[in-house]
Amino acid sequence: MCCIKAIIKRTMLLVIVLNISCGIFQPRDTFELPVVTTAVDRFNFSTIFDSIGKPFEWKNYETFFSDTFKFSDSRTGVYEKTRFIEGLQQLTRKYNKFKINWSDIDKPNDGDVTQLTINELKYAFTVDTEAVEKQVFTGKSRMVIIWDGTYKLTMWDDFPEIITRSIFAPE
Amino acid sequence: MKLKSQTDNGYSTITDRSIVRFFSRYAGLIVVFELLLIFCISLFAQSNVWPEYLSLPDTTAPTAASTVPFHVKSTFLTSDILKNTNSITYIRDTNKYLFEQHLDYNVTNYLNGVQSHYAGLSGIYKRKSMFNSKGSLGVDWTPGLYYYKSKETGILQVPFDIGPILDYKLSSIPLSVRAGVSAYGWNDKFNRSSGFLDRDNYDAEPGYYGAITIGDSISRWFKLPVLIQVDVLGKEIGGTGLGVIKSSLKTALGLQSGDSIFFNVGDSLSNGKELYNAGSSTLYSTTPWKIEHNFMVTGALRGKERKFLRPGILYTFTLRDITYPVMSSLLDDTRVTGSTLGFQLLSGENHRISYSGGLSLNWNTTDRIYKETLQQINADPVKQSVNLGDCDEYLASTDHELTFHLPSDIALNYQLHCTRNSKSYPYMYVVSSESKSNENEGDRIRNLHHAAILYTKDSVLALEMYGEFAKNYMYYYRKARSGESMSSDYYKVGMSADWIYNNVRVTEFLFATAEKSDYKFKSVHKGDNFDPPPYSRRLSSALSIVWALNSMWTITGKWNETYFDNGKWYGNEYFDRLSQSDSIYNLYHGTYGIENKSIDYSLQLIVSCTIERWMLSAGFLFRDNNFEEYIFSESRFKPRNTGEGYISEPSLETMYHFNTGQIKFKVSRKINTDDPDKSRLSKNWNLGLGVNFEF
Repeated sequence: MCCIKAIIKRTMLLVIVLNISCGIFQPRDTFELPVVTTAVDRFNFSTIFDSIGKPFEWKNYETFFSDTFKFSDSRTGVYEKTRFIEGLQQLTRKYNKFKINWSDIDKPNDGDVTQLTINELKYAFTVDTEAVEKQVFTGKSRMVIIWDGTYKLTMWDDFPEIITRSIFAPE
Repeated sequence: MKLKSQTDNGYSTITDRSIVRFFSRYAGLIVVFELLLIFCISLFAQSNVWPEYLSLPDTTAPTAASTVPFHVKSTFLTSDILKNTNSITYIRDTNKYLFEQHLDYNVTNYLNGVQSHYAGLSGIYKRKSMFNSKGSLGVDWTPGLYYYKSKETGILQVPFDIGPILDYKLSSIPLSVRAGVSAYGWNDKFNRSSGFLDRDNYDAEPGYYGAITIGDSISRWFKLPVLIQVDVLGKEIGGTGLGVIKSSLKTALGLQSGDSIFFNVGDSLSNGKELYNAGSSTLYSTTPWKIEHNFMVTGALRGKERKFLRPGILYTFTLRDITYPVMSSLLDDTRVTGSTLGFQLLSGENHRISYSGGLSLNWNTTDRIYKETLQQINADPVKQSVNLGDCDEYLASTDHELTFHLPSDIALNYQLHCTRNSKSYPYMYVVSSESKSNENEGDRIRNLHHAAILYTKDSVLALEMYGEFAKNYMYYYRKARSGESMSSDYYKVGMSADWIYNNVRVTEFLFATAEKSDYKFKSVHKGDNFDPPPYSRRLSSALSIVWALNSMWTITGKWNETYFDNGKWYGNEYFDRLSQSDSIYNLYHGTYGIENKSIDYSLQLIVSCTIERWMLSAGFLFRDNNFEEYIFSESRFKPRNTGEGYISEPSLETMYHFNTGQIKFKVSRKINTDDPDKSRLSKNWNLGLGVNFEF
């Protein structure tokens, strides 16, 4: 019994000491000096353009999407360019580590070179949240590309397989 | 078995038979979920709150019982999607036998060509008072039907289990044995164009199952304060098998000194593939062969009150191993081990000063490809890349609350809440003389101070005025991400009031917040990469007035309004005077540049009338959201089209209570002035119907 009393007294003392002494809740100061990184096509859009024979050099979202761009999620609705770009940037922050694989990219009919439509484009969006198991979001998309000096994405309809919302839809 | 609610084990169900049915299908998932739940509770609960899962369930509490045989529940909801759930249960429970039959039908229609349907006909029959009144013997059955319809195709899945069940009481220990045959039929091309009844499209596999449960989550063994439960489940169907062994032991002892000791240990092992993909949310989902082992042990000591204070100490160890025997190269085998040490100190009740404090320290280690040596990993570039996920995680939290109870029903309250999540990645390797390491090494820290003054006057008035300050750190340490390192100062002031005067009740929640961020390495955000740190503000009010005119009429009014803006803090230190023009510097330096701002408000009026068992309420909601964004090229704010104009939503709700149940109906229509379909009367309706009765 004396032993338990001693443990309890020491516990009380330890709580007080731990809370007021060490810097548990202060950040480390072991930084490596930062390097400025170049723009990266995180969503692998260049794969789609490469596959249909319209390669391009990725610069940024602003030049990749046309000003009239619209994203349509079959679950949650339609989003304009600015809102959608904010959503993609938010997505890259939320899921820092992810991969996207585009497949079944049918070459569109080149009848009208100013506007190309890719139907039934499948995707698998894999998130490595550093949890033990990876999350995978799959679905099909329909994309419309226009020529505006460069090829730009102007319309994207998404049909996610998950029941709640498209992974690309802004939250 | 009478109807009763068992929530102490995390399930909410009407019979213990339903638990068996549920367990049989999702055994592996339950085991993992249960252990993770307990682990998460211990991790994310406030460190000054004693974890309730350590205590033994109170078996003296009365359980709600129902003697009527029919239980009917039905809901129908439609807005953007249509959802309908129906359940009829027939239960006949006598001294001689138990008969229970469920009829369930659920449908979700996404109104875009995608639908999912489920129908279930599970049931049980048991003869009681057998084996010298120590047990019962019977049979249970679980037929189900799942149908998914997408635009192009349909999938039909039909799982079915049937077999005998034996319940036996060995001394005070319950024992349950189940076994039987299974079948699984499916059609992956279930639509009219491919031949609705084309036999070539149908497939089926036979199988079998067996399960033993010893003990349960409430029965004490040999009248001692010890709960032991062991579950063993095996199932095989069409060459696919799943085996699960799960065991747990829980005890709590009161010592003569008045102190208490708690001990809890759980272990589970599952091996195989998840059976019956039916019920999954995705089409064509498959599960790999997986071996998963979970282990958790917790020991705790809670002292009695001494010198107004009650201390506690806890320790938890967890282990989680996941192995994929067939696809180990693709799905990484992983081991996660963790230790948590917690200390608590709580003051006794009814003192002028009350205090509760706690400190929780947790270490987790994630080891990917844990079965291979470092030498084997370093010989394979793919494994080297995967092994970068090896992680040491350190989570700490401390929570303190101190309250001074002053005269005149006034109290002063101070709270301190600190959390830390630090991750480091010890593994690194060299490729082409360049070292590779995980770039996510970092700290996330929040230190929050909360001070408040509270005034309460019986049940007439409760008033709180408070202020908060928090310092947040989000730091990354590797060179690839250290430039993103940021700290922020968060401020909040607010007031909450709840006032009752005669028949009127007024509640108000008002607060204002501001958060100003600052980058650690400002040079990274200058010049060509000019990107000052974020800044945001919010002012919000929620007012509610409820006026009970008499026992029949009630009028409710609500007014919610929120102003929000966000943008960047253009501090002097983020300008590069050599490369940027003076005009930009003069325009922005030292200012808060708002990039977006919005005012969102809603007004709602509800009139309710109650006449004996009947309630009718009519309401009207008006909402508007003005969102503006700053256009730099035009130096002005422009409204952004969010697709929503003025929103108004009239609604009508009615409910009638029978002797045996209730029926509820709600209808509303959302009118959006920017909706091109607003004049089409057939659109934008929300309908809800709920029926719940027993007889």
